[in-house]
Amino acid sequence: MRGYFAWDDAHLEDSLEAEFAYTDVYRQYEGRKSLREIRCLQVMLPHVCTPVQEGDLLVGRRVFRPLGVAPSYWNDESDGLDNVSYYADMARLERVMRRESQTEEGRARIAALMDFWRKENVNARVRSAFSEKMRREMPSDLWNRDSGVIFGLYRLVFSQLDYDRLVRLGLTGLKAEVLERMKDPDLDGEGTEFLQALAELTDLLGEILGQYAEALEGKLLSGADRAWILPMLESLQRLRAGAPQTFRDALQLVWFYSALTGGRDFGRMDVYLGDLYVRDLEAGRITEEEVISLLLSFYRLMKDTDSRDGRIVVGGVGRRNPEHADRVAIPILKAGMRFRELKPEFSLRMSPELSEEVRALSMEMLADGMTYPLLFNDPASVRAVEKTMHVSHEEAEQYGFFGCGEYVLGHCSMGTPNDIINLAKALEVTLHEGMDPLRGCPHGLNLGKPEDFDTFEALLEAYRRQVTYFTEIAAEHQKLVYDTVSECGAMLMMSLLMDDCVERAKPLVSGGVRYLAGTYETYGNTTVADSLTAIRRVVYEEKVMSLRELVEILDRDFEGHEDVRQKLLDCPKFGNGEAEADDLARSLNTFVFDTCARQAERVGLSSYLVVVINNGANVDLGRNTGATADGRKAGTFLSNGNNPMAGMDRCGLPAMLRSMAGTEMDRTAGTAQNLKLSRDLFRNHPDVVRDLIDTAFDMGILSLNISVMDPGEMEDAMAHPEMHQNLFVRVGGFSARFVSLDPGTQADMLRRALYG
Amino acid sequence: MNRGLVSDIVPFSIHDGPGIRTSVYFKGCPLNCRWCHNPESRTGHVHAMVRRDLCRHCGACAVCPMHARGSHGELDVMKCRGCGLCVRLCPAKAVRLCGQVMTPQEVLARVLPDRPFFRERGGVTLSGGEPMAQAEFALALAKCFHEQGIHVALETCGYAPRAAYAAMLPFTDLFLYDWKVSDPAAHRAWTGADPGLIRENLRFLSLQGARIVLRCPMIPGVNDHEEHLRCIGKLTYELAGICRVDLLPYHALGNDKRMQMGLAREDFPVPEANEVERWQAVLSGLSRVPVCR
Repeated sequence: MRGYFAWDDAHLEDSLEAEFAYTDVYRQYEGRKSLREIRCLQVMLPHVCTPVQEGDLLVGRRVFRPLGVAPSYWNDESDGLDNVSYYADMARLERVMRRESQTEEGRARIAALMDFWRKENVNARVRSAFSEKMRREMPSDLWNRDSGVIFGLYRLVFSQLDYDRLVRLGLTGLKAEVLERMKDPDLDGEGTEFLQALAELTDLLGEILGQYAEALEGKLLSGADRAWILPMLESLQRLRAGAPQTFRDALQLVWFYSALTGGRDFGRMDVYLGDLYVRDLEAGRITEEEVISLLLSFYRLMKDTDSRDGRIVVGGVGRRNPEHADRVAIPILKAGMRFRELKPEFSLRMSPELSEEVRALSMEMLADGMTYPLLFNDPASVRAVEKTMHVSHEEAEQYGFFGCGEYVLGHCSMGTPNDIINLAKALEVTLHEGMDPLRGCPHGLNLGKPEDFDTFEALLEAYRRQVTYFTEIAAEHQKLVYDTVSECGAMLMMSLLMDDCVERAKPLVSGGVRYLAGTYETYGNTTVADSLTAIRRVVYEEKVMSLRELVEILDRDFEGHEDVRQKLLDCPKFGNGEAEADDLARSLNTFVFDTCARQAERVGLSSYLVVVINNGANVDLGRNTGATADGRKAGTFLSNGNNPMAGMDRCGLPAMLRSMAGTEMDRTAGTAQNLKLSRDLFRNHPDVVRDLIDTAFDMGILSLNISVMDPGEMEDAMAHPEMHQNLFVRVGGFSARFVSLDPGTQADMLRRALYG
Repeated sequence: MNRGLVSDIVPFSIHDGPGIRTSVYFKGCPLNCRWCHNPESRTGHVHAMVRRDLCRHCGACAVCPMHARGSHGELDVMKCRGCGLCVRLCPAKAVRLCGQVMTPQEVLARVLPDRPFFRERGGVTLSGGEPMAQAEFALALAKCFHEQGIHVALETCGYAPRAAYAAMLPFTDLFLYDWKVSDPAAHRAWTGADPGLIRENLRFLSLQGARIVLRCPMIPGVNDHEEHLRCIGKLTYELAGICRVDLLPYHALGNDKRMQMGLAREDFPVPEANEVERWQAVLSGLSRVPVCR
């Protein structure tokens, strides 16, 4: 099967021969995870590559087959959930099986294939290893559809591979390192097999590059534009022979490697592209405009490949080549402005030595309404990472971030978020004697009836116990995912570019990576804080009603009790710089952060940290959460990230930022702070923008997500979507075209205050 | 004790002086500009404001002891004395009180939390209404902020005794000085006040070395003619203290607040962007200092 490119298939899924061959190999190497994985990759990788398209300046377009091994695979056309390691897309396999053209024999063959993978895919293997508690409290993985307090995710995402090493050594250099390591006489059999697999992986990648080169030669012979094909072809030839020699080589190799890995975090791009950029530029081999064209091709490939995230980081302390890095940051950002799409997600580490040119360009990008770059408070982030992840200052300096802004250590830690908690639901089940009112079944701990909580402290304590209970289960789940992946696979592509794996001769999650960490996504933090603030005032201080009465009103979604809802809405809310609401929010958050962090030692992770982020889950989880005591109606979105509940910041931007800065972000692995600012502010008041960002960072805020728009622009976009295709908004941890958002998220965005 | 009547304190003000500012809006003004976009700051007393879009016409507010409220939510703002009874009784939360008597220390306490945002550039702007209509209070506030090292800008129409401005000078870093209508007769007609005192105070402040931004509302049909622009240009050459001219094109947002006060709308045409650009270009050609908008 080797050497058989997917583009030889007229339609990718007409033939599942690759899947059958892959499954045969998989079965053959039972119990030998490194060998099994390289054999599977040898079958499958050539089948995921697709030809260059008109205008591509880099090779390495890829698709995902229904079967494969990847850090994460998902299919938005089915359930959209993540699948880790050896995945199997049953919906796609079934579609092929049900084709009319399918023979009976073919159907039976596919059915058998599906039967095998239904049990063998790693998600299923994790679920089959569930503890009794997990089975009880995590009955569904469909967090975006079902009701529940916690949900498990299955993925190994967002690691920041060492592309700097890849660029400096090339595939051949990496192979030489692996071979050198193999000379160690003390290596055990498993270690040798792992290293052998890595060496074969570099060969495999080289061969695929070679096949691309052959295909390009074919294009040349058939009369394709030499000026287009030849530079690409020469680059591939150089990359087969050694380390990247030019800027183009570096970009090509990074794209190719990341595409075949299936990961889309590009880390400190200014560092690993800086030296070759400056060298080429100074030698007159390339112009800035040519570099921008290459980067545009890179960004287009990223956009065309199904993926979330796609972070590119520039700036910050701890760069080995700050001058070169700052210089290449300019075309990186300029190409982004020209591309003007949601991917890649540009992120700027704002350190005191940030070059004015990079800063100015970043502000221009934001003013243009791109929502990028996301801004990170660099010195404070380094300190926070050092503290929460218990790592050295030098390691912390290499922090990166993923998804919605969660910290991870560059090429030496895994921090994939594999569990989420709906904190508002945790309060709901606490108020309902350990029942989920929506599903009508037991969920969580029964800690008493509402009337049993005779003081506010008693209620608070019950809520804390509830959160602790669920958090313990979530942490165990996070570890279980790693353990199961470790049993099944080696994650060779990632292992090769993560620190220590080669040196230790161990796969990524089997003792290879230096820091095996995890993160825990919490949702509705502010909703709960505001709800408990209101309960404290209305029930326990003013004694307007009993807790039982309040719960009954919430159960009826305030029907016939609009006055009560109004009273709850009038209670102090987080986001206004008022101690009554902010202090409780801070203490609740700190409790959740610390409870989570304590799990690391218990379950055997290097750290396990909360991330207060958002990926639209506040809308999905809100849909299955009843009315809350902050005055929120049932089914409405929950609060977003570390922000006030949309529309509840009534005292202006400084007060909102003061409240947000009160959250002890340096006990988390990241929190999202979203600001909606006016275009007038960005266009006409650059000094104000500078003061605003600098002050927010001085206050200790670690990152800012900024959406820039005109007043009334969103309202107009709802009425005339066709006129506003380019209105980008930062929802929380992700950016989106406003007109493509679901109505719930649009409502959340609309209700947020626009400042300036 | 020195107290003042304040209509609002607004953090993150970015159009009333440099940097990030907190604006303190004084209540009460000696002028009666028909285009005023802060009509609630013109009245010198505490009173109700009614959101007619929220009002259910239930008549709960008609119990008003001053007979300032009608049975369908109407408001006679001049009769209202701001007792707040209707605010408490309104089931629709359609009524709020505008105006609060505060001491300088209370204002300071409200402003200080915003101080980190002021940094090198920003600060506090005393605005209104007309701060100098409560000159003692304005002075006390300016002193308070000055003592804290906070940049103070005074936004004024210029219609107050010279001595009051003289007292403010040491504690005011920047004057945002209104220049509304150049022709004296037209000024009287549109604002109800004689411009002589305003012109003299402006000259006085400039001679005293004050830094002045001239703030010029541009109202179509009132002052959108070249003669007015020429006068402004001339002023910039005559008065060394003027460091910039801001053109403030008319907008109709004040009407919403007029309705909340039970007053009739005052409509002027809202100028098109290209019209404002034209004014700016013309004035830039006539002015010694930058013309902004």
